[in-house]
Amino acid sequence: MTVELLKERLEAILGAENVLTEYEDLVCYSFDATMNVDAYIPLAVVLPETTEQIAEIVKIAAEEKIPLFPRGAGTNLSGGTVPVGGGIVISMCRMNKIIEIDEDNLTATVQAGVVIEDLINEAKKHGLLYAPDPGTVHCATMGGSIAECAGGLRGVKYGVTRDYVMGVEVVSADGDVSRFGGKTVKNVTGYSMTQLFVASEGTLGIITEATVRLIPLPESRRSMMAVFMDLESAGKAISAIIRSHIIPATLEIMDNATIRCVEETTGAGLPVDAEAVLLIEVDGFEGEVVRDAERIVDICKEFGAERTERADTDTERDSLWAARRAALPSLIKRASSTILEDATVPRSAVSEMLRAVSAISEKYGIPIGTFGHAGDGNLHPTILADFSRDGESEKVEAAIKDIFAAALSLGGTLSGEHGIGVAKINYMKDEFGDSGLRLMRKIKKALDPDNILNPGKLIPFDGGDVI
Amino acid sequence: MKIDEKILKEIETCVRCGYCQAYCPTYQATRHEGYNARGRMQLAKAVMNGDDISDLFRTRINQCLLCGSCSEHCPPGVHIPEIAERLRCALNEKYGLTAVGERMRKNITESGNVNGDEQKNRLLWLANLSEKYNVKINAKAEYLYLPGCVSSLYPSSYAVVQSFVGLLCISGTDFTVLGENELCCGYPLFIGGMESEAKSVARENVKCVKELGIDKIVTTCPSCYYMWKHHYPELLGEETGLKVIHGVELLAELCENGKLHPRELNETVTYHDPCDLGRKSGIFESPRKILTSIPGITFKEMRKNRVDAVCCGGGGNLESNDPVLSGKVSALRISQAAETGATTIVSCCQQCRRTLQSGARTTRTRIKVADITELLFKLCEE
Ligand SMILES: Cc1cc2nc3c(=O)[nH]c(=O)nc-3n(C[C@H](O)[C@H](O)[C@H](O)COP(=O)(O)OP(=O)(O)OC[C@H]3O[C@@H](n4cnc5c(N)ncnc54)[C@H](O)[C@@H]3O)c2cc1C
Ligand code: SF4
Ligand code: SF4
Repeated sequence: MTVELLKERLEAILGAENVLTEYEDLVCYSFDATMNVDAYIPLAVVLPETTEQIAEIVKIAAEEKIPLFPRGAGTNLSGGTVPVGGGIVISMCRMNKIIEIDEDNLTATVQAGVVIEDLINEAKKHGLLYAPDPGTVHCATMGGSIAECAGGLRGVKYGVTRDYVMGVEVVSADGDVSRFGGKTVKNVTGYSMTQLFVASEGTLGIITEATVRLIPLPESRRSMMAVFMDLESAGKAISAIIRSHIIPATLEIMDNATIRCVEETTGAGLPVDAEAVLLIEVDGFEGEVVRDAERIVDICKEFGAERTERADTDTERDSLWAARRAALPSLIKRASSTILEDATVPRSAVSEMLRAVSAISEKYGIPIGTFGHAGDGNLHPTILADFSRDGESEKVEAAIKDIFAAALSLGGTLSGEHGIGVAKINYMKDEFGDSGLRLMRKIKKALDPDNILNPGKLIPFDGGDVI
Repeated sequence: MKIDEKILKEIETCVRCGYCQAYCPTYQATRHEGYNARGRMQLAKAVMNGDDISDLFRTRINQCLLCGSCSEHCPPGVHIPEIAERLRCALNEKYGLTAVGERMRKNITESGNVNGDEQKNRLLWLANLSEKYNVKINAKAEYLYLPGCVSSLYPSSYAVVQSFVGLLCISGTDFTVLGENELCCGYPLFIGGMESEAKSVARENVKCVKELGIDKIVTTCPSCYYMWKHHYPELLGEETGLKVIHGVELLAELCENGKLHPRELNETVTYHDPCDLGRKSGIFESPRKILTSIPGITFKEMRKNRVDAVCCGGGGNLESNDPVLSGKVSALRISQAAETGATTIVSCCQQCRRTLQSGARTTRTRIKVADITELLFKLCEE
């Protein structure tokens, strides 16, 4: 089918203003937030407003075997929305209605293009919380965060997106619309199809609507900071906190390179000679929160914290977390290119992983700042690269490889929350071996026999094995 | 296309994080990446090295409000408004002016004002101003008041000048206006990518004020304010030696010093920060001080206020470049104002007042739109 004809057919479904085929518009959908993945110009971009429109678009694509690339806010860090090889980008951003907040069942039903923070704000009006809060909470979409299974700062206690998705409406590769799951707390009817679409990165179906769990807003919270002069002690303190059966809402770490960077750009008053800073927040009922905060401070001191600080007022709390939120922006400002990794290890191995990363940084002579969600073992080693230097890409590539190998050898995983996309696809075999990959390929093939849904992402197909 | 290295480098600093989607009003109003800061930067990067640049690229760059909301929250701090201004300049140099740009150039450089009106019409607002208010024209005074083109030439905006003049008189402030000698400040030229024309207007304006021997300028237009205060020294390569303030700063001072005594107002009011006055110039507190000091008033902030305020839709010459898009942005801002439950939205800018009024009309929102001068004058007039 010619582009003109394709355009005509898409326009018949969506109206001319919702089908983009001009080069200038296509450029704007050729990339996502991933630094080391090249942009690719799609054939067309569509901006649908209803599930029915998407079903119609998928039918055309299925008939003509045109690849489809679902896209939310395009903030993923694994090349998941780059339309590699060309095809139609389906932007979900105009499907942004919050359909319902159900206070009796503690659920929310949203269209896939709803921005996470909009849901959080709406839920708050009802005294409820939607807990997953990735760094991009103010712009990323519910659909994108479900398709990536996004995590966030509150992961330690509240889990990740997977733990909140109760039901989905999806358009499958043949254009059929199905609903799985719903508002019931219990549901064992059929396969766990809802969960299959979580973290599927747009390769199994297009999520058009979702029903998610809400929880009561915690009554009270306390934040604190602990400064450590060596990584070892920080690691031990993390394990001790978890072992003492206190589950903080948030337990974050910043290493020395990150601390220095944040201090340089914000002047927030962080200790630049510290090897690690832990930022911790507990929440719940007032009495419990006060007790837990005291115990955490005691544990940190016991394990050699140089000093601890408690944020008692909202302003103190805000400035403490502003420093953590400044981590990534500060690292970004420092280098011409930043590659944000996502290797994740069991929480007991956090200090080992941190040590491994600094060794890798030294080995290749590339600065790497590490910060992240220490409480759930999800670290973000951030490579500060300068690709204008000779041999830099090879070095970066080798460093990434070493980081993944270190994570896997510690019993960890390639990605805790940023997904595989194209960026990490070649490492999938290291984690799953042939048999694991074969099984996943069978699932993909069963749901998308012509490989039109986000092809080239997540599941590697060997040369002859492309479906 | 000729564009300096520095700007090219700056474009490259966009890391495509997508944060700006939450802050860019033209994106919020369309949910189309081509209308987002990130889309604009990536598009610029893609087309910059090519020889042929299409009209659509130009349109996208001209649709930017230059509001700076994106830069404020951008992790690497990309200066998007400056980049867009430079790109507009480079596009003009290479392809000549757009029809809208040409009309603007002609109006300002030939007629002396943005509408292409006769300069003598700049004082029509005097005609129905009460006689008790005495306005000196082209005379020696403590302050030179520059109302700017829109307030002096659009009858629907006369209220701004009339109210401000009224308040100056009531408070006994010594001021003069230039009348037909007032020239456009050149801001529309500057942001329209006509830097050299803007420079000559700047030179002429400063000369005119110096000749009059006045060194304090007050204006009710945030764009004139920003242009005189921020861009003039930059364009002319030296300080102007003039003290430039915005009307709302003077009014706050007059209220505080007991020179103005607003009567009670039992209403819920919200405040819209104009981009050039708030985010770009850091004047946030004066208008809030005035509003909260009015007896009886209930003041409600919008969800997005101060540095986070969403543009009214009138920035960056958008009302001329793309009135439909401008309307969508003002509808967005009006809906945020309506959320507060306020019955009046106050601003400190004749352009915000115009765009917000039209936003309220098209969305059929029951909210009054007023400039702070208007509101205060009604409450102070004897
Ligand atoms: C600065 C920065 C900080 C970040 N911080 C975090 C963090 O703390 N935690 C975290 O988990 N992530 C983080 N991320 C990654 C990213 O923001 C999240 O994964 C986010 O949830 C992606 O949402 P999106 O709407 O941008 O999705 P997109 O990037 O548009 O898409 C992501 C994937 O989902 C697919 N997809 C999108 N919508 C649909 C749909 N409706 N149906 C089916 N498939 C779909 C796409 O094809 C793609 O594979 C960060 C990214 C950046 C740039
Ligand atoms: S916030 Fe800044 S760096 Fe991020 S995408 Fe927008 S312009 Fe680029
Ligand atoms: S200046 Fe305003 S309109 Fe322009 S890109 Fe930035 S936020 Fe968007």
